[in-house]
Amino acid sequence: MLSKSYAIATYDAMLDGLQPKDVLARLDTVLEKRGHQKLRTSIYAQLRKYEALRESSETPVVTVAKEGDFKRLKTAISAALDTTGAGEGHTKDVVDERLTGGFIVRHKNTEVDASYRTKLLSLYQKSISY
Amino acid sequence: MSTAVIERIKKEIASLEVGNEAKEIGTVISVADGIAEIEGLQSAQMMEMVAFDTAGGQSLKDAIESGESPLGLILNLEEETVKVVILGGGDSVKEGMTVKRTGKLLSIPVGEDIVGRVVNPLGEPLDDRGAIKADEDMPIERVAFGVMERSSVNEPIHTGIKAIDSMIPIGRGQRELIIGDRGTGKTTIAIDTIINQKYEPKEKRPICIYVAIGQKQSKTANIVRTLEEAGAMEYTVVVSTSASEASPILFLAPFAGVAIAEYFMLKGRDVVVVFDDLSKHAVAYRQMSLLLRRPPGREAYPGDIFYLHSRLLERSAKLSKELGGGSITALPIIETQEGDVSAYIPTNVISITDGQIFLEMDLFNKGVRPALNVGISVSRVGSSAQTKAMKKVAGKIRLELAQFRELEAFMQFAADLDDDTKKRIENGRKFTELLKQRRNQPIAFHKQVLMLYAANNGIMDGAPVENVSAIEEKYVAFVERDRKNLLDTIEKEQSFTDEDAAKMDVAIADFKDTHSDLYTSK
Repeated sequence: MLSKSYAIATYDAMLDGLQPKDVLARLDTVLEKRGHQKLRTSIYAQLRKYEALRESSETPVVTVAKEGDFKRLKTAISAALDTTGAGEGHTKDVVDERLTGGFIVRHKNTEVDASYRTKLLSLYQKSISY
Repeated sequence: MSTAVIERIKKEIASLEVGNEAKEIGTVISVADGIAEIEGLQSAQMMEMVAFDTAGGQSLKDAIESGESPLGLILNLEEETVKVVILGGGDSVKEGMTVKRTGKLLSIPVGEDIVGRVVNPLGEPLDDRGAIKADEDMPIERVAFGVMERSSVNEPIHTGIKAIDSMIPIGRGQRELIIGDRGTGKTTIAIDTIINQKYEPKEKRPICIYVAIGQKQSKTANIVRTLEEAGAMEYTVVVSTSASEASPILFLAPFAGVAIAEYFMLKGRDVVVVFDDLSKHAVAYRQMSLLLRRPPGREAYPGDIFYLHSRLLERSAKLSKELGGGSITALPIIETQEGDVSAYIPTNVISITDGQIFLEMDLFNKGVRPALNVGISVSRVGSSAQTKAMKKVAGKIRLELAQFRELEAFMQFAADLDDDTKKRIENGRKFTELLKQRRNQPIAFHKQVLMLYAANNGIMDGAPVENVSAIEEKYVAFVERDRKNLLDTIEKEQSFTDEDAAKMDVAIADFKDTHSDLYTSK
């Protein structure tokens, strides 16, 4: 709990515009003053997690089953990007054949799942419940 | 697979659309002890269901083989995150997993087909008899009906237990607590009540729901078998959660039971719901709240422990005619420790319910079974929930037993007492003996009325205490054999006239003449 509190405070300071190097140096000073140096490793792990989450949520991710689907489904993907609030701009494109078909667009905390895998799985689960 | 099922699947495939709907998602940032902390889900609601995307990163084949995605229930809305209790299959939830909102509050699928089945709080069948066809999804949490939507409780629920039906009558729409130490017969009273409903005419017979909260699976299996043997499973639903299940499932069990009950109540039916027991429910809620890091209060229970039970039990009601006139009668069970009814949870539930049935270990050990302490048991609905017939015969018993209790302390000096006191003590002992009853053998109310009338009018006079049970058994058989129309009248009219009373007096006299052997000491 304590290491998480430190991590949140440190990350917020970085997001407020302070230089990461400065922030980390000040963090080390505070940890030494309070005798919490042992928490350093877990605080840094938390900070890396937060940064990874932020990065993944900032850039929209478009996942398709086949390379050719980016072009074939361009209109639908574009509409989905608008729906998620991503609009035009850079996207991270991923090919994952496990989708079977269709696409998934994810931006921040919104997702448009138009993959065949999800629909077929849902159909299967409804069928076995009859 | 039937043709109907094939047609339904064909329709599903034909209408399959790969849609463009955006859904809010979150990410699991920690999982421990069945609680997942999720970042995102800014618009999530309290008690909303979420689905953990275990299929993400898997092929279709692997996703099918790994089974249905576990669901979660949002129970804490915090500044940056939400805390979710995982409902089943928690092992597959991992950190970093995507979580999708379903937009639905927790509900249980219910239909007419659920009667006669054993289910878990999510509505999934546990009795290996196939899927249950559901008509509707009933919300697990729901605001209770208001004052103007209710009507007064004036129709009895017959438990089949003489002591209860005569002195602590329960009405349809009432909440009557059954409270006592372990092994005093609380569950037996509830099961006997369920079995006794088979004597009700089909059109008025209530649906019964037995909610097992954290009970041993062997106990629940025995109960189901007892109900099947008595023919009671035809109109009973069992909602079962065992002691080995996670606390969120135990927390949901009674709410699932009352949600099923509301389905039938809204159709104008009467329902009896047994919660066995709310002490275990409180413990499960405490465990879940501590894991959710909610601040502990008295005895480490969360601050809203009273609200947990009050909102559950307030959903029992007798609805007005405009709303169909249905009802839910609740029989919550509380287990006390060493007879301590002043403990936290017992006092909470006592203050919520419309009366309580106290069972005492001392009485149980003395052979008084059911071990009811009629002196401190009460039904706040009272005789409003009794048939006219029972009202006529029940009044005297309470008085006799009250006088007997006062004089009980003097029993050891019986040789030194005046005749009147000795007679009262003798009567009290006979009435106490009369109120004893075998387990799982409820007695139809018209037979109770017959016997209580006879007891008030001298059938036990001159008989030793140890013959009272035999007199009861043989007298009822005597009337059933030779004067069945009298019993039928009481059953049909739920009352008896002076003429019927005269016939019963004659029957008593005839019985005493023909069974004189029962009136001599051995």
